[in-house]
Amino acid sequence: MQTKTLCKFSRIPQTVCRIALSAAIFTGILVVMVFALALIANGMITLPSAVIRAVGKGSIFVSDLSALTMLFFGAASLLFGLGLILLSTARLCPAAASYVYRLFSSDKE
Amino acid sequence: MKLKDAIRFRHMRVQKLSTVQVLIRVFFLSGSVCLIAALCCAAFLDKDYRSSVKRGEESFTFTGFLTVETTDVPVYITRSADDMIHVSYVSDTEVEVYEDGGRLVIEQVPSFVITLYTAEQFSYRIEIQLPDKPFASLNLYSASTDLHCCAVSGYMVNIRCKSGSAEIERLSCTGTLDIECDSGRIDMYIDEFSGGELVNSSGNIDIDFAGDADTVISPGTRCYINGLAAMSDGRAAEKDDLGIISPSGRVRINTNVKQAQ
Repeated sequence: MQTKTLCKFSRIPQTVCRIALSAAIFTGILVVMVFALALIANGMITLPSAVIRAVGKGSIFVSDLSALTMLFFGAASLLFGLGLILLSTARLCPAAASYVYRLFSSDKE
Repeated sequence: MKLKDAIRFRHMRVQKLSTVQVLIRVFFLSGSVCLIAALCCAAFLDKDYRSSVKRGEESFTFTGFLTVETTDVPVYITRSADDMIHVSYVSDTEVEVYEDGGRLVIEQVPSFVITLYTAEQFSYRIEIQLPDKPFASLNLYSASTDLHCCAVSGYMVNIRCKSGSAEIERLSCTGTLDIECDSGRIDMYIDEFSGGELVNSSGNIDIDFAGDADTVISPGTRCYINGLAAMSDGRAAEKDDLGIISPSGRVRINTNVKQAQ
C-alpha cells in the first residue's frame, strides 16, 4: 500500500502530519486558555487588593501602584481574561475541532 | 434593485449577534477601556504618586514599660548606643509608636494583607534599639512574623507568639515570665529566672536555662527536659516554678532540674 505524503520531497506520512498539525492547534488553544485563566486570576486578586488599598487598610500587591491604577489594571485583566476564555471556548475550540475533523475526514470524501 | 427594497433595506442581511458574541465584545471593549484608563492614571493622574510604603523613625527616653505588638512585619530588637529607645520601621501598613501613661507602645496596625511580594523589595521591618537597662514590664507580642531580640532584662516579661517565631538571645527575668505560643516557634536563652508559666498549643519551644529552674509539668503535657521525655509528677506549680502546659507541639528545656523530694 502506497503511503501518501504531504509533498513530493517529504517522506513524512500525511497522517503523521495531520496528527502533528491538530496537536499544535489544540496546544495553542490550551495555551490561550491557560493565559486567559491567569489573567482572570490576576484580576480576581488585584481588584480586591486595590479596593482594600483604596479604603486605606491594604497591602501592596505585585508592585507599588496607586489604588486607582491598580483598580483599572485589575479590571482590565479580569475583563480581558473573561473575553479570552469565552472566545476560546465559544469560537476557537469549535473552529479547531471542525477543522481537525475535516482534516481527518478528507480522505474518505 | 427596486426602490422600495432600497428604502426598506431588504437587500441587507443584518447579522444577529448571539449572547456569547455580545459578551465577548463587551468584555474586550470594557477591558480595553480599563487598560487605557489604567495607563492614563499611571501616566497623568498619579504622576506625582509616591510610594505607599510607610517609613518612620522616632526616639524616646527610656521608659520601664515597653509593649511591642506586630502582625506581619518582622521585628529586630538590638542594643542602643545611648540611653534612648530608637524605633524605625518600614511597612506597608501604619506602625503606631506612642507613649501611653508611661508605657511605650510600638504597634503595627492590623490590616488585611493579601500578599507581600514587595516585603523583601522594600525590606519591611521594625527596628527597635533598646538600652542595656532592665524593664519593669516588657511585652513582646508577634502574630505571624519573626521576632529577633538581643539580650533583654525585665521584672515582668510576657512573650506571645501566634504563628511566627520569636528568637531571644538572652533573657533575664527577675519577676514573672509568661510565654505563650500557639503554633509558632520560640527559641530563647534564659540566664535569670524566678518563676512563670509556659503555655504551648501546637508550636515548638526550645529554652535553655543558664541556672536551675524547677519545672512543673501539667498532666497531658509533652515535654523534653535535658533530652529526656518528662511527665507530670502531680505537683502544682508554685510561684517560683516554671509551669508548663503543652497539650501538643513540642517543648524542649535544657536546665539543671531540681528534683522534687
